[in-house]
Amino acid sequence: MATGVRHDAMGGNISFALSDCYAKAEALARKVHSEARQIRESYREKQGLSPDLNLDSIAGVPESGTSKWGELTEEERLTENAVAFAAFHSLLGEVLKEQQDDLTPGDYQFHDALLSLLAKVEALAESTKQLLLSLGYPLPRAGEEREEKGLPYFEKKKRGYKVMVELCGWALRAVRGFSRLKRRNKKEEEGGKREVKKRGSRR
Amino acid sequence: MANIVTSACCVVLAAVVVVYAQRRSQQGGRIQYEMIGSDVTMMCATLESDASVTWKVNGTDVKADKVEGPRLILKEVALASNALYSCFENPAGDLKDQITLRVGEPPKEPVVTCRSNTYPKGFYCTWHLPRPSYIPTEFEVSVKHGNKKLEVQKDTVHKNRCHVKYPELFSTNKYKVNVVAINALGNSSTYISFDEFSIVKPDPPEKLVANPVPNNVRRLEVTWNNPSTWPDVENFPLKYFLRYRPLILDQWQHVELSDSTSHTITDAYAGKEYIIQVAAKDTEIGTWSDWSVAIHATPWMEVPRQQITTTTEVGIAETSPSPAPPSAKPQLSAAMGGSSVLTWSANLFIASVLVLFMCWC
Repeated sequence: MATGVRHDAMGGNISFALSDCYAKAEALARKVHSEARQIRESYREKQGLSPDLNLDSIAGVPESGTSKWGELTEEERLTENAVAFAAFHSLLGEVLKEQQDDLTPGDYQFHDALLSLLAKVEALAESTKQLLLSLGYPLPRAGEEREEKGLPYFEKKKRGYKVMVELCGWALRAVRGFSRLKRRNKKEEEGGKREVKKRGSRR
Repeated sequence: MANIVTSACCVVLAAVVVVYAQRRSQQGGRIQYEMIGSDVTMMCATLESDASVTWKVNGTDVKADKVEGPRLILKEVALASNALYSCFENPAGDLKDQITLRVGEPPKEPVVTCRSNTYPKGFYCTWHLPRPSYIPTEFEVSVKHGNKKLEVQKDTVHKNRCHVKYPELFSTNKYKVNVVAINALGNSSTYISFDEFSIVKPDPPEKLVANPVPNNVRRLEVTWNNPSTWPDVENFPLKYFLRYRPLILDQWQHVELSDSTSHTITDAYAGKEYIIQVAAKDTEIGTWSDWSVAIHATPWMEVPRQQITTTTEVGIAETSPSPAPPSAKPQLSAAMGGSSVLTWSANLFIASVLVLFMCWC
């Protein structure tokens, strides 16, 4: 057996494994997006907030909007996603605690929904880090420990809403990013298979 | 000498321009805008209140009871009151003023819709008045994203349309569009806000084609192109919704497809003509496009031998890529075949009559 064949087989296996990782990350990001949208609307109704509420004054929540998404490298996209989801994992934990202690103390169903979303966001942060490692990119530095500030009642409501709003944006951004990686990988796989076939036919 | 001639020409030219301008201002005069149903007073130039004038509307005298000194009073004007009103000072009859009366309404709040069929490049907004104003009305459009004002480009073809580029993607800040309608009788405005994703609606897929599959009476191969206006299908892929039904039934079959611009229908009724359409949507956001232009197709059919002979004789032109269903062809063939027999019989009869006639003679 020629070394070239073994190398192609291994390369093909790695490509297939990556493709599987991209697909799973994409599916998870899509679930986070879907759940975050539902919880965002529930949150807004429960807290009596207007859909046009100005959230500009709320600091400390990563904002998903970017004018450079198309120009970022794959590494930059994945790194930004990893940093954001790590931050959202921490922020969602704070939102959940505020809901339990203060804002919706008896609404256990809502707390369960938030907990479920929290677990998925943690999984998404972890998947993104794993992809960075698989692709040979460095992991982002861990963010600084957030100081839990005691916010006034209405500010807690607003911040919690902003967390949900921006999480929706980031989840959609992640879906697009993983989907793009998946398609690119598929093209490379198909290109690799054609190459193997050509070599096979030449013998 | 040359200088004198040049100067004279300039003077003549200037005189012509002045006369033309005067005549034009006299003919057009000024425009007076008034609301439908209101009482209108038209004033003849700056004549004194005891001046005596005659008014004409489109060259016809106006009734004296509507005239008070230099004023013309019209009650409860309607669209039919639109005209050119001229006043002439008595007794000399000098033309003193001309007023074009235009009757209309102040604008109602414009109806505004915005849509992105070119995501992620940008979106466009269109507007119209829910009721006509009957007089010239202008529109001012402003767009903000968060607190930032965005550049608005007017459409070169559609008067009531403008284009805006998305300044960023995945933004949670809303877009705020304000359209102000202004005319001589008043103004009104409409304000709408929306997020980046909710207005995304692609154009329908293009170049829909359906072909029969040889030797398979229940299949149709359908292909289409992405809408040409969708700029980046690689990074912002579309999914599709195909619907099809035989013409003889009202119930549609539906198939949702991703990552492919083709589909093979495998459950078509043999011999039946189908109508097929496709719609598109971004895989993650927005709404479905309108349905594409419909196409018709019939699955492959084996043409019986005797019919081939008949078809060849009558030379029926094929208008569809697939063979016509036998239910239609035999009728057409029989009709065409039948008329050939009739012609031959007629010829034989005539020939027989001629022979008999000749024999008799």
